[in-house]
Parts: sequence; structure tokens; C-alpha cells
Amino acid sequence: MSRRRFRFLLVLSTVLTPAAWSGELEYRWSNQVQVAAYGNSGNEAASPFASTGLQSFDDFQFDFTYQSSRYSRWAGQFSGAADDSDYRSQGSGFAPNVIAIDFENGAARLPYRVRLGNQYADFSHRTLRHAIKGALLELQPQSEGQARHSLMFTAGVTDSSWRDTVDDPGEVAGAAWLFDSPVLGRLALNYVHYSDPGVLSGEFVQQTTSIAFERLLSIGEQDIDIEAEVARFSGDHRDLDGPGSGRDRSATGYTLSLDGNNGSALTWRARFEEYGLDFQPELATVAANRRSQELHAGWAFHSGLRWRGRLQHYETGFEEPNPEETLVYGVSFNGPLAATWDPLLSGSVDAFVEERDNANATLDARTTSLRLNVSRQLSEAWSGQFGAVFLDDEDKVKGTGRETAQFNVDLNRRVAVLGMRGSLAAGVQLRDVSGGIDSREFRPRLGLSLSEGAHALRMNLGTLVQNRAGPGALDTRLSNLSLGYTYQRHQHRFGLNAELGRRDPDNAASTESWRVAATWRYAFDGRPERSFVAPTGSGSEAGALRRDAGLLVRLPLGVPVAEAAALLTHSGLPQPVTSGFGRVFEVSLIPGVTARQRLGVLDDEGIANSVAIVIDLDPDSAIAAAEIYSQTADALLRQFGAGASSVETGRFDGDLASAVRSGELVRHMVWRVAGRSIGLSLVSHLSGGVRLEVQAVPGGERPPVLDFVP
Amino acid sequence: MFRYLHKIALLLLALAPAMLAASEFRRFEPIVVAPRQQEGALEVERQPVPEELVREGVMAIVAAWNGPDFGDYVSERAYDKSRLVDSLALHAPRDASLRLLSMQNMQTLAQFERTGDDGVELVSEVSVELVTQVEYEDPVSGFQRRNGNVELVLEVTQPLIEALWEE
Repeated sequence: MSRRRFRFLLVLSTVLTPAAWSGELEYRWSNQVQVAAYGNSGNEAASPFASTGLQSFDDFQFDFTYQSSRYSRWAGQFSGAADDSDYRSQGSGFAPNVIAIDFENGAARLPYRVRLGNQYADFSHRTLRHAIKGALLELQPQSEGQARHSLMFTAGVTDSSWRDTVDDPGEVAGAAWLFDSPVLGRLALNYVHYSDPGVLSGEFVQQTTSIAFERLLSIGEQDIDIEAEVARFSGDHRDLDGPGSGRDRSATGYTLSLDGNNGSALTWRARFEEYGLDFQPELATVAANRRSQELHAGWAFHSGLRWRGRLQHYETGFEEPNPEETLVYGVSFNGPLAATWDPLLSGSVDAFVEERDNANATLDARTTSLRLNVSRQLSEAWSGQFGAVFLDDEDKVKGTGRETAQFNVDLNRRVAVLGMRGSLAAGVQLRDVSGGIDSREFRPRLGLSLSEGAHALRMNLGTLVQNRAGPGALDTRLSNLSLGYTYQRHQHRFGLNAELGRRDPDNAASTESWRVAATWRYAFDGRPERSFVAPTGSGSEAGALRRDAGLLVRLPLGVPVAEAAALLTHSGLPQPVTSGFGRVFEVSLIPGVTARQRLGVLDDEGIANSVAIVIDLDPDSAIAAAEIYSQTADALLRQFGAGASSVETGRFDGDLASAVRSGELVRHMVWRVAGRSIGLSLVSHLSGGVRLEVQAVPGGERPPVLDFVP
Repeated sequence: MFRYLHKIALLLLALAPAMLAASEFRRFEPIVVAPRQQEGALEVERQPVPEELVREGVMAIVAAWNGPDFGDYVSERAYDKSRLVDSLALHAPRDASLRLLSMQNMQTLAQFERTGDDGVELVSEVSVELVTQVEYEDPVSGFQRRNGNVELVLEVTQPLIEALWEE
């Protein structure tokens, strides 16, 4: 675990705080229908589309959360599809895809979490990491101090689909204990029992037990994260070498990794792993019969360039008579590759060598790889990329080899077409392969991507010309054109896609393939919206608005900004200052706050589109800033209700501007009231100032950054 | 929503069951309990990651497959990352490309906060099943297609404030 990940554990206690209890059901659902037609002509075996004709489906997704009390919560995810497409699931007709229900209760004497249905059983790499359908119970006994405990019990089956449930799937049951302390580290004990019908090997039963440990040590200026796991496998596995060879076996797996950094430029990693031939947990992720050692080091230069080096050694089949060894060594550079000469040039260089041989000397191969990719902004509108790949394969046993050289150049330009903005990309790739069958390849390509408001359009056109020389070699020319258009209106999204391909081999039949698809997606957000009830007592004059934070909701938007400003002055606000972005009023709307406050009405081409309150804070007075934030949040909570979502992390102290800029200090609240979204944010500006911004916009979008108020 | 996607990092954690990985062993997922309450603070309500966001990440991964940037999409915490990336770079036909035939069974597995380079982030682990097809031209046999069903576990990282507005 890196230093950052430990910091995550510490921060979590300040960030993960209870949600407001609303007692309300919130849900979302979406439905997507797609009708596609596929067609081929000529040599259909060489088409990318194996199935032709109409291929359609309708799938839906439904999610909900229900905060049943302040510390208990339900959540569910359901999805399914009515399929009549060979390009999706194997069967046709309706079938559920995901059925998952979670319930957690933090108010119980023993806090617990229950999960039913689709889930990802996750103990460790060496024991259990697999998607299952089943049940999970997690208990989190509370203890004094910062140490935390988790007891997890899980059971389920390994069916991959609700549709194709097999008669006798693999069955898994497991238990795990996790101790997590920011001081002592993490310790885990895992046990997994698995039984499998073993279609080919016969039924087998296996158990895997492990102990895992992680601890961060500081030695001098070095922070070293130590992680280790020892796992023991016993029981049966699939036969490896004849009938019965997988019965009643046992083996051990080990891993140890050390991750170090000195808090500045240097990072390093050392890793060792070993898994015996019979270490075959069916639902683990590691490879049996393998031993590996790895060393990695990295250095971050002041310019932003990062260097990494690696040395890796793998032995596969090390418990068998003819083990294979692989040695990999290499270096890479990423970032600004020539900051001194050209700071705009960035990219990567990666070079490595892989050597493989075995004990019987039937394998002795060496591959060298060099890759270069650079990109540069050439002007405000133009950017360019260049890439190169060199591969050298050498088979020392057969005395053969193959060399590959590949280059690509791409240019991108920002464009505006038919009132839409986007980019036009043109490029070419050249490839030369020699050894065995030689090949010269040429691939020009052109791409266009445009969008404007609800409309988005993209087009790609490419050709690949392959000229090959050698026994039985084919020359081929491939062409492809694809077009896509999407239109979003409110909760509806419509899409049209078309693809046309042509393959022309020399001395053989050509192939044409095409695909046209139309998609309609409807998404519904069932979040209950709160209504806004104006406080009693309006402005003193007829038609006037009350002067408080409720203006964020009451001030009409979508009207001429002059009309909105006139309404505000009619309501007793002073004459505004007009800027290029809207009208700014010097007025105090948050009671009790003595800092400077301004109300701004933003406009777009003369139409008012948002309204905001800006409160200046003194960046040198953290205590006063905290007080003003508290007063403002209280006022808004009284005005708009407690049903806000918020993020709070960090404390008001020290250099507020830098803390806000770095993300260490965050205060952000969101209300959705009467068709508007209202956000309260603590923001810093490049000038070094810190302020609170409360901004309201119609609908659910996040308001843009305020830059109209200096 | 799409205005904010440029701030969202997508990391591929796995390409196949043998690679499904999030960390070496499981992470503590705290249940919110009364004694840990912080007065006055409210939580970002957890919601499954929007389908559009997952699709955008999947398309980026499919486009990067067999290209120089593919390694950028495989998490450093994925088991055997370098073997996967090296194998693809050394042994896949250079003209091989990956076609996404369908995407389904999307499920948000877990969500948690962590402190990242841009402040506090909401991290969502999302599994999704893909039907894919590798396509290339064999020098002698001609056009080849290889179908595959893969389950990806994606790590979607959003600045926490952005996530709050995504709700």
C-alpha cells in the first residue's frame, strides 16, 4: 500500500459521513432499443459480420437507493434484456442480466451489510476473486480507537448468466477476517471452499486458506510498504497429467512485495512470487507452477519527465522437468521528452528485451522492442503526433527471425463546420515486416468529429494496403467507412450508426460488408425534487422580491437580463454594475455575514441564465472564513431545506488559498429545488483570493465557474 | 454530464478472469455508523456509474488495444500487468484490431473515496461484460476473426465534487 493509500484510510473517517435521512426512494431507470441490419456480399467468410439480417435488442437498467434511516440503507441494481441479436448473448428472448440487492445497517449493535444476487467475491488474488451469484454477510464489530474489523461470509455459485443456469455449477463458500489499523497495518485471514462438477475431470473439491499482511514502515527518509501473503491449497483440482492426477493434492503460494519511495523523486518496487504446480485455486487469479522475481525503479525529474526501469525474471513450469525461463529488462521515459529545447513536446519512449529459453534447449528466443510516441501542439488549431515501433524477433534454435518497423504521423485540426465545432484528423501509417513472409503496409486515415449542443457527428474513413511477398502470401486492400450521429433531447438520446467495409484480396473473391443501426435510449431519474416555498412576507412594493438568498430561486431566468435587473432594483437592490458577463449588485443577502457580498446575474446574449451570490473571504483569517462558511451554509439550509448533498474534507487553517487549490480543503453543497440546481462552493482564484460562491442554474447541470466577478 | 468527462480517469483493471484485480487483498468498506458521525456533514449519495460513462471508457480501451497507449489503461494494481502488455506488444499481429460487438451486464461493484492528485476522489469499481472480436489479416490464410467474451472491471475515478453533480 502506498503512502497515498494509507492517507486515504485516514481521510476516510472525515469524509465518509452519514447521509441525510430523507426516507425517500431515489431511483433511475433507462431503456435502450437498438435495431441493426447487417449484410455481406461476395466471400462472406471474410466478413467481420458472422450473422446477417436484422439483429435487435431492448435492454433496461433499474437502480434504486432507499435511506430507510440515518444509518441504514437499501440499494439495488437490476438489468435485463430482450435479445434477438447474435452479437449479444447466446440465447434469445428475455433474460435478466443483473439482480443485486444490498442492505447495510450501521445502527445495529453489530453493524452489518448483506448483499444478494450478482456480486464480486473478493478476498485476495491467491484465494478468491471471481464474479458469483449468491449471498454475502459482512459484520463490522466496533472497537475503540482507529482499528477496524470486518468479518465476511460469502456463498454462491459461479454461473455466468441468469439465462444459462447450468444444472450443476461450481459452488463456493468462504469466510474472511480483516483487521485494519492505520498504526499497525492490515491483517487478513481467508478461507475458501470450492466444489466443482468437473465436466472433464470429474467432480472435485478444494480448500484454500491464506494469511495476508500489509504494513507501512518509515526508515529514514524512505517509506516502505510491505505486503505479503501465504496461501495453502489442499484438495482436488482439474487433472493435469492423466486421470486422477488432480486428486488429493496440496501446494503453497507465497508473495512478498516491497514498495518504496522517499517522498520525492525516487520510487522502487521489489516483488517475489511462487506458486507450486498443484496450487490451483479455481477462483483465484494467480498462475500455478510459476516463480517470479521483479525489480522496478522510477525517477521523476523536475521537468515532469518520468523514468522507469525494470528487471523481471519468470520461471514457468519450475516444478516440471523442462521449466521455461523468461528474462525481461527495459527502460521507459514519459512526459516532456525535451523540456529544455521544446517544452510543448511530450510523449513516451519504451525499450525492453525479452529473452526466453528452456531446460531442454528447444526454446531460445530473444525479442527486442522499441516504441516511441511524441505529440506536440503546433499552433492554436493544429496538433501533431508521431509514433514509431521497432520489433526484432530472433529464434536462435531455428535460426530464423523477423523484424518489424512501423511509423505513423497524424495531424489534428480544430474545425467549425455547419455551425458545429470539433476536430479533423488525418494520418498515415507505414509498416515494414521482413523475415518469413515479408510485408509492406500502408494505411491512410481520415477522421472528423463535430458537436454542437444536442448534436454530435463523427466520421472515420480508412484504407489498409498490404503487399506481401513469400510462399502463398496474399496482397490485400481493406477499406472502411463509418458514420455516427447522436441527438440528445431531455431524457431521450437517439443514435444512428453506419459502417461499410470492403476487402479486396489479389486473386480471390472480394467481400463487402455493411451495418446500419438505430438506437433510442430513454433515461429517467426518479430523484424526488423539493418544492420551494417562499418565506412569508414579500418585498414591500407590489411585484417586488424579498431580499434574501431565496432570490436564487425566485428571480426569473430565461428572461432578458435587463428585465431581471430591473426587477431586482425594483425590489430595493442598488443599481448594478454591468460587465461583459452580466449584472453585479453590491448587496448583503446572507444575514449575519459582514464580509462583502455581491449578487450576480449572468447572461448569454442578453438572456439571464444563472444567478449567484459571491462572498469574499479573508485568506489570512481561517477562523473568520470558517465562521462565514458556517453562517452561509446555515442560512441556505434554512432557506432550501436539509436535503442537500455535500462534500466536506480538510480544516480551515493555514494557507486557505493553497489548501483550497490543492483540494485539501473542500466545502461543497448541492440543492435541487424548484427546477434549479444550487451549489455552494469554497473556491480559490488565481489572484490568491478565496471566496464562497452560491450559484443557481435551471435544471440539473453544474454551474460554470464564476469569472465575471473580479 | 459529458462536459465533465475529460476530468474522469478510467483505468482498466482486468481483461480476463485471470486478471481481475483491485488490490492484493480486500479493502475495508466501512458501514456508516452513529459514533463516526460528523455533525453537519452530509455524504455524497452513492449511485451506480452512468452507462454512458462506462461505454466511453470501454470504447477508449477497445481503441487502444494493440496500440502504444494500451498499457495506460491497465491499472498498476492489476495482477501481471506487464506480462499482459508485453505479450500483446510482442506476439499479437501488428494489424490486429479489436471490435466491440456488444456490452452488457454492467454493475457497480463498490464505491469509496480516496485522496488523489486532484483532491478527494470518488472511486467506483464497475464490472461489465463484453462480446469482442479480434480481426486481422493472416499473410496466407487471409481474414481472421476471433470472438471472445470478457469481463472487465473498470475503476472510474471522479473528483468528488464532480460526482456530487453527477447524481
